[in-house]
Amino acid sequence: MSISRKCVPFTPFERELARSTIAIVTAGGVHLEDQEGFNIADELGDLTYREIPPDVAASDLMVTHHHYDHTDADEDINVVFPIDVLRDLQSEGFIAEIAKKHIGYMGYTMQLKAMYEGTAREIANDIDKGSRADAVVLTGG
Amino acid sequence: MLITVSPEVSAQMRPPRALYPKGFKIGNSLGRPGMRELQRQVLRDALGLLSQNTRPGDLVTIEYPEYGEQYEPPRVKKL
Repeated sequence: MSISRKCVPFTPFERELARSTIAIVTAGGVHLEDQEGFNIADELGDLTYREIPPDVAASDLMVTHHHYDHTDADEDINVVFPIDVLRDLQSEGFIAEIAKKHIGYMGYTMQLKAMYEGTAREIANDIDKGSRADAVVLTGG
Repeated sequence: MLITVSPEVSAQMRPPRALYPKGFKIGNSLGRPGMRELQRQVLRDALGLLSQNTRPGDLVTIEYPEYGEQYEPPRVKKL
């Protein structure tokens, strides 16, 4: 997937939400407890990302990020990674499905070019090819 | 679509569809811990942007009084 630097791609969304599959991508440093945490010791930031499965328990998620106060996310991960909220909307029929893959990464980086041309494209490709999502909810910290 | 609590910062990237829940602090994109109905409403509103006539960089601001105490978002520093 290529990303234009000048023109913001705008994709019309013509599906009904009630027939749509939704993924979550967060820059809030969310990952599974048994995944390697993000490298907060590196002043340049961490360009890696973590895949989060659709059946994850909220209690198995945690945050590694030192550029925002994630006390509230530690208490309820849904404030930055709304997986249970998405399940609620599925139950009420507002959306159809929860995507097969979600992504957490640490939004802080001083390596903007590498983030823009590397990590962002990798995440987009991963979601595009691996999650079967019709749309993505993006959140920051 | 994006849910942002830093509207000025996010607008610089001209996201095609973005919701700013007004007055939410950083770390509370969906609301406060345990406020599940508020979290559901924020997510419904964000997903609803998919079928609205939005323009890149024009963030949609919605107020949620049930959130409680309001916070000023970070500003973009002028050089």
